[in-house]
Amino acid sequence: MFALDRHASFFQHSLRLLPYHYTQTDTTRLALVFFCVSGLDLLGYLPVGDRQCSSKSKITKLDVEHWKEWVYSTCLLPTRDAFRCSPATAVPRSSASSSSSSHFDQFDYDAGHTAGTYFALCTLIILRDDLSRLDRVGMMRWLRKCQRQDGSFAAGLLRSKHNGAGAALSDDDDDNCEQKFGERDLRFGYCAAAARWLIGGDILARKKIVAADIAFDSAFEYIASCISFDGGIAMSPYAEAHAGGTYCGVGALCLLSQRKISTVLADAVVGDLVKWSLMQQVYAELDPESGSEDEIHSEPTSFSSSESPLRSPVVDRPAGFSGRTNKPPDTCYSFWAGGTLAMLELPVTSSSSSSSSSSSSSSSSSSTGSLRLLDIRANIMFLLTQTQNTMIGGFSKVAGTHPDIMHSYLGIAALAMCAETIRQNGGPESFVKADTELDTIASILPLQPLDGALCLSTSALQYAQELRSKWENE
Amino acid sequence: MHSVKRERTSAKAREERRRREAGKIVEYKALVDKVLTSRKNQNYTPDALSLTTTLLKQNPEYYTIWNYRREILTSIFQEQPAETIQSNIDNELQFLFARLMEFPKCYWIWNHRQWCLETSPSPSWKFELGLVTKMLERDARNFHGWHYRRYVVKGMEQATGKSLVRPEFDYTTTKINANFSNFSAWHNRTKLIPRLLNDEPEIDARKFLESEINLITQAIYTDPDDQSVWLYHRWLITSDDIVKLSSEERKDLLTKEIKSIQELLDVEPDSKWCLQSLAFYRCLLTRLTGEAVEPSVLGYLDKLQDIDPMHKKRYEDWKLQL
Repeated sequence: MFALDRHASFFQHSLRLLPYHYTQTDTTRLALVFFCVSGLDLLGYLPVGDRQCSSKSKITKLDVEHWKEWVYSTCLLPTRDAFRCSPATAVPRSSASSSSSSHFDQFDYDAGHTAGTYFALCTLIILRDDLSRLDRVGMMRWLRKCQRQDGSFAAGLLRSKHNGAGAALSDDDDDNCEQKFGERDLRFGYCAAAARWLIGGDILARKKIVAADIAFDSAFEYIASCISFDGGIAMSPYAEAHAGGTYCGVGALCLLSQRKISTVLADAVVGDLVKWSLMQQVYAELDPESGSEDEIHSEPTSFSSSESPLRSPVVDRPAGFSGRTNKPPDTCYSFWAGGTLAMLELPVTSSSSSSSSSSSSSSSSSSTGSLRLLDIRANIMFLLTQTQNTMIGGFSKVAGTHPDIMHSYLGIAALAMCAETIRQNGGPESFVKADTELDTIASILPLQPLDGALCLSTSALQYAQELRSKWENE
Repeated sequence: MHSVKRERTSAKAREERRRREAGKIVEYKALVDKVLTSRKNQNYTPDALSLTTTLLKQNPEYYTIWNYRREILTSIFQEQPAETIQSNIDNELQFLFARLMEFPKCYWIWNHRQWCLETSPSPSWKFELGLVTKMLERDARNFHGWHYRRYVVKGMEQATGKSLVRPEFDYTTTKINANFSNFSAWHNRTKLIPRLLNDEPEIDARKFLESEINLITQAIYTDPDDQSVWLYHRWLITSDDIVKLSSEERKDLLTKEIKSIQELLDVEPDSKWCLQSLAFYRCLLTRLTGEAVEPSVLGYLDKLQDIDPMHKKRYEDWKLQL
């Protein structure tokens, strides 16, 4: 069974205090906050919006305000045009003499971060903040300046100190004023595309309130250069196709094209992406210890009572998703591959669509794209019986390891998409192999629907759309 | 995320661990404060360097501290002759090696290593190649390793003016012979072949393709359940990056391979990859010849729905598209 309340506890505890082994993720703390807050949103525990909040939730409006303030504390001041990825990089400025010509004295190391900005914006939207405290025009300029010549986006931008500490960015492309830093891969292009949409950057560009939009042609070219021979997308050119890279590439294309993927990707390429993503679903090696820590809830398994899990026929086995060909399944890839499938529709043939609302959804239901093509039941069983931790809550990467925040959130996000797919395709009865499985499959249905492209709840998405309408009419 | 193995712990043990951790957290934060204050005061001394060493051992992901470390080293190097710099860089590379053993997927460690090579008066690319070969032995799928290998090879090529495509191609052969399932090696091979054929125009591309097909066919017969070998086969048969076949030649190649796989299917009638590949290649052939899709393809897809029920809906969808 899906241990909804345990997961809510897990996220709430994590927001208060993190164990020492999270030290290595200290520089991406904003990601962890987003995962917890969005996780609580999907679990129905946040007192935001019009929805009824779970009666078991002890989260108050004051908590919500506190979290918003915490996110804003990572915003760069006085420019308010970008967020850090963590308070850890709010490095005190060294008092450099302006005559110094050393690179390190020239640039301000307290930099904004593309992923941090994406996580911050999502978290604020979920918490129903209207982003009015931000300089959205400045942020659009900042995003544009993160884009490299080859179309990829940098992790962040260092500002020159010579313009004065914390000066606003100009529209000029003067390379001496800013310097891009960080890894070169698809992740930051996704974060930039999402951030641009969330702040209505496309609206600002169209209305010429900001001098220019990001460079579409080179952005598309970079993504295209990451497409691998087997139909998936790699994190960077020359690398192997990777479910995370595929999600980021498709997500960026989806958001940049206003969710009209067919205008930027040929049908054949879409077909290959769907096929590649589906082929990442693989059977798990079963964990003999799964479920044995759970004395309180009795786990109905998907296997008939006379057979041990390891001797059950292949068709009954749980199957999660791997990140690359010939690797074992890992919780988070249920989201990365699932999210990709949610964003892609195979070209419609006369009798193939039994699914879903249109992909340009402004309604409260979400598009499930080609999710109906994967083995939903096996995926749910993998997550619930192999990597879910029903004692302390959360999900782990693989069976037999500790749950962590990222895998917990992405496991839940994947289940939220499965739940919506079930709702849109005949209900839980259509997805079980035996009546004994009904309760297990149905236990995920209380999850809020998730928007695959932005990885947040559809109700948060709706709020974002309301903001955009407001900005459109200004 | 790095996996932390789960153990059964009592409430008492958990409380004890929480108390120990609280102490560790306080210590860590104090160290961070010390390091950042040191930077604020523009302290670029060897003492400052040691401080960063201690902190980076605990948290190599803290990239700001790597930046500070580079500031310190740059400052120290300003006054030093080339041999001393080289010696310091070598120490740095030693330090990084130990970090890599513990954190083989930390981007910032690999990145600092690159900085060392760029700063070194005489970088040893040979040593780096040895290092990355060792890392790939520990984990053949580590894409940081493969990425770094490509960087090192490029560095070597620039330093010597000689192309390394042939030895790199041979390296993928070694990895493949060690384990057919090593998709990273097959993948890298697909990137190297077009360059190899370009660098060595004396190679008969068609003969080369034939020998690769023979290699992959052997691999397929050895392990028909492995996904990697089938994907590589598909690339060989359909790619224009190896040799530009005429439409006739492509049709002949497809026909030949279909026959070859059909023979394997006769011996392994439940092989999902055989059935999938046959269906795919037959459809491809049909598109080239303009003929109608053979009923055998529908037969394959029906059988696939039975033996590969996980992907049942995908095969249903495929049938509808025919």
